[in-house]
Amino acid sequence: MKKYLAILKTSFLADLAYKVNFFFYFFRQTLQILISLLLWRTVFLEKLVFQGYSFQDLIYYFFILFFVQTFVDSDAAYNLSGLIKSGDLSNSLLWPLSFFWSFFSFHWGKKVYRLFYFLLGIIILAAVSTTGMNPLKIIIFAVILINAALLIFLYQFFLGSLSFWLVNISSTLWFLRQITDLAGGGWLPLDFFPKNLSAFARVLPFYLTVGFPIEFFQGKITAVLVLKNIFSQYFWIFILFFVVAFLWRKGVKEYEAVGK
Amino acid sequence: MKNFKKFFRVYRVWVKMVWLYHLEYRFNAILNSFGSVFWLLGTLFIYRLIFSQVRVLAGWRWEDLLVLYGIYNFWWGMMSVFGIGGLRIAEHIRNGSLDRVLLWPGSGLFYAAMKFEPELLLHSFSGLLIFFLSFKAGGVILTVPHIFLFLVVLLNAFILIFFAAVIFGCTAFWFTENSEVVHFFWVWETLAQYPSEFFKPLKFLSFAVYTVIPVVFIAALPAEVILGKINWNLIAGAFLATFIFGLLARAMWRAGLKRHTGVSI
Repeated sequence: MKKYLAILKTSFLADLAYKVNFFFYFFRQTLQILISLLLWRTVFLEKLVFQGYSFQDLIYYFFILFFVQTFVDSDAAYNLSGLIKSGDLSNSLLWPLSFFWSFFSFHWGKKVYRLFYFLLGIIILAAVSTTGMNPLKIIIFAVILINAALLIFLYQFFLGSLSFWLVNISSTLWFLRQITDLAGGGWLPLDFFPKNLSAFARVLPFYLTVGFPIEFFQGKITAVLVLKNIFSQYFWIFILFFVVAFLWRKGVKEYEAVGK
Repeated sequence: MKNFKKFFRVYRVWVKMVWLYHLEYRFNAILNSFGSVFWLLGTLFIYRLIFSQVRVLAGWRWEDLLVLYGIYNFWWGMMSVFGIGGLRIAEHIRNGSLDRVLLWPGSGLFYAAMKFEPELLLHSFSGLLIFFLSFKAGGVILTVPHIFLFLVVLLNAFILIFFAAVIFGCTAFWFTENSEVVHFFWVWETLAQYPSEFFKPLKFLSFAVYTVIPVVFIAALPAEVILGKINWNLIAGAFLATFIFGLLARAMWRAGLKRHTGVSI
């Protein structure tokens, strides 16, 4: 355990060494929120209510979306794919460590500084929430978010592992990212889509990563559905964990260190 | 002139090598092409969703916004294929290949900023298709002076953003790890797909889109020209911005080279 914590700490310190990068991350995130809100403000000047949302509802949605994405988002697939393609994975395979857990620690070390941004945003949003936040709701929200983050990490690890066979999959990853973002509520609330599309999107696991945490925070989801979706998250984490383990074992046998 | 000829000879060979590289990973290349078109259509779907409930957005009709959107995507595709190579300067600095590039005959800046990404040509053609389809809806003025002015303003937009990309890429001489600076550039550049009227509620942003990185001159200004809303002050401002950015890019490149302590590979 100590060795993985050391990797996490090193990863965090490495990112912190580039302070300009650190600050530009916040500028970029803030700008992205502003751009979305500017577009929708223009829409709401023409129409007070859009698909059941007022402008305040939509502001709230986008702020929760961006802070949730700060916590759950992952570029594990790009990192892993890069390691496999360049052949740098060879070094990691020689370490007396589990690659999966060391990669997991490295990945979370890079996210530590984002957690401050996330916590600040969520505290402010909770303070202005009209549905109210109590300790039980906060604990459930934390559980949902941790599950969502794990789910995305495992999904990204699965995708990155495909590099063992396909080698260069950067564009594949980008294409899939567009689809998962759209289907998960990362572009718009799922309520904005036609009813059948919205219902279909809620069946897919991508909804469990972004759309579900947001709808829970907004208080737009019943207790039964919350329980059902939390179980769905655990189900997908369980499935993906075994798929990833299987794929990894097969992949390492195929690995040729192409870039080296 | 001699330097230009040398540069184009090197560029031609380099383009051939890039084609071969992308052909090696055909599946990835095809998916990149369709992925970018998917993104284009996805945003268009959102606009259509909005216009199913409103008639006008900040004074722009659906047909006018289609013109702007088509121009933006054509421009984005072409810049991504050929033009925003300035951002690659950071890669060269980080992996030490800048020294090798500087030894090539001719201008090191143009070689460092060379770019060719053929997968995104489909995105560019899709943007062009949307632009031509928007003609049917009316509002577009197709007289020779308008078309000429439109093409000049569009070409100016390419050059402007080439220089802007060089400026952002050159920040790597000082910051080394500037991936978030580059991401910031990409996010800022997405503002170009909106009319300038969208930014009016935020005064600082409204000012910044004309000055910091003048994205308003990329697609909104050419769209206004082809729609007959010609503003000579803005057009003059666009050329002035390109001139200033050109000087800044040159100055940053030279200052950056003086600081550069590359380790060659």
